[in-house]
Amino acid sequence: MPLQPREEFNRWIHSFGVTSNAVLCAMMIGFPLAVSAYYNLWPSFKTLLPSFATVVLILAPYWPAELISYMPVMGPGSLYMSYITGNVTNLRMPVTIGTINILGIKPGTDECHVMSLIACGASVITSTVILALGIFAAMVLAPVLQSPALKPAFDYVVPALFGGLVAQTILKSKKDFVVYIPALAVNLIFCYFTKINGAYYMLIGLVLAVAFSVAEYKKHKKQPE
Amino acid sequence: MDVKYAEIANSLWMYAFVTVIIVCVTAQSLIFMSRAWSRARDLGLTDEQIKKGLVTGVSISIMPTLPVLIVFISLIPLMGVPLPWLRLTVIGSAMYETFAASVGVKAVGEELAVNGYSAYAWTSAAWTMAVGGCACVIWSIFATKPIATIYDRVAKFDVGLVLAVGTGCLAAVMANVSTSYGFSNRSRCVVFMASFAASVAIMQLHKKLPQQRWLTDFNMAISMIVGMIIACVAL
Repeated sequence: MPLQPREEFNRWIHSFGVTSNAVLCAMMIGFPLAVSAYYNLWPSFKTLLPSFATVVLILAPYWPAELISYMPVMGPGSLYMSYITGNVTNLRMPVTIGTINILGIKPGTDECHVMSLIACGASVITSTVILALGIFAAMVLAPVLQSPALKPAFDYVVPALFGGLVAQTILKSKKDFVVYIPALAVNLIFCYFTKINGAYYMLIGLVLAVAFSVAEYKKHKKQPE
Repeated sequence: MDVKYAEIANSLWMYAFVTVIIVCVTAQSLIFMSRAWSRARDLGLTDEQIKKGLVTGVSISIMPTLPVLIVFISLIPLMGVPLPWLRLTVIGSAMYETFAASVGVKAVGEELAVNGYSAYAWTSAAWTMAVGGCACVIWSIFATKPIATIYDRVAKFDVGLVLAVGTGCLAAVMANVSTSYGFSNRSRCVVFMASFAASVAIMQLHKKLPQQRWLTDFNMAISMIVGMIIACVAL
């Protein structure tokens, strides 16, 4: 039986995402491998094992938290792309939410996932071009970008990005605001009164917000039309 | 072991190697985008809407990429061009890569300093950065499909439920970033609230002037710039 366009598209996303990420991952490991082989500089992997563990474990708690919470909004394609290019929270996720806010698309829909792919792709290419230009412009740009007058602007660019993004997202409707408040309260309590890693309380906030949202949905579903 | 990193870190072949990887990463994005574009048309989105999504992706990305560029420029004397260029374009985030590099250099008993460590330590840093970055890609390879499948299966018997989960997830993500980047300390809070207030002001203005659609389109860019100006003036 021929596949429906949606299933065919999703099947292609996973097949291309897994294959291309595996190839790119191999190429990235290929870089230090080539350096070691070319200069015959092989570090002792026994010595490096603790540093490998440190850099992996410092981010590992965030992986499930991000994948579970970003999946309904970004979709699998954007997440495959974002895990290769990095900067998921401070670049790819904001461009997805900014795009669906501007276009008035609901999170979790097929339209949301395809627009996320297009916006994230545009974001990846923009970042790549800026960094490539940076090689040539480094001498000229360095004094401007590192000037003390502009330093605070770049130090706080992420809070500046999220202020507007949060306002546009949570003030879209009363429901969005009502679901946001308990999750924010949980995050603030854990942030200020415990030493628990942010990735864990992100998941607790997620469970609470999803529970509120689903309860609201079920309440409306039960009401006669 | 006496060879200094500066003698190998800017080799021409490394530029070529990194260029090939970055071209492949860009090609991956272009292939995803091209397929998504035709799928978006099938779903009934107009070319104008799709182009708006594209422009939003570009416009929102410019400012947040500049701090990455600053880290890149500052890492050039420390590590040469090809390695930071690769790590900050692929997978890497500015803070994490600097940290991973210093962990890798320290592991072999040296310190990350301009012209102050060996090529051997540089290779250790390159290995540490690559392994740290690849771990999350391996995670995405194995975990993305199972998690997407769970959401898909739920959608088959109740689409509304998945949309409600999506709304909840979005609110949870907003709550988490509000805490991490907004309310975790005073300085961040000042900038976050300035940007938030600017965005609310623009939304109110758009309610009064609904024909001025550019207010919605540029809301995020304007509020981000307001936040950055406040950071320069108040902090």
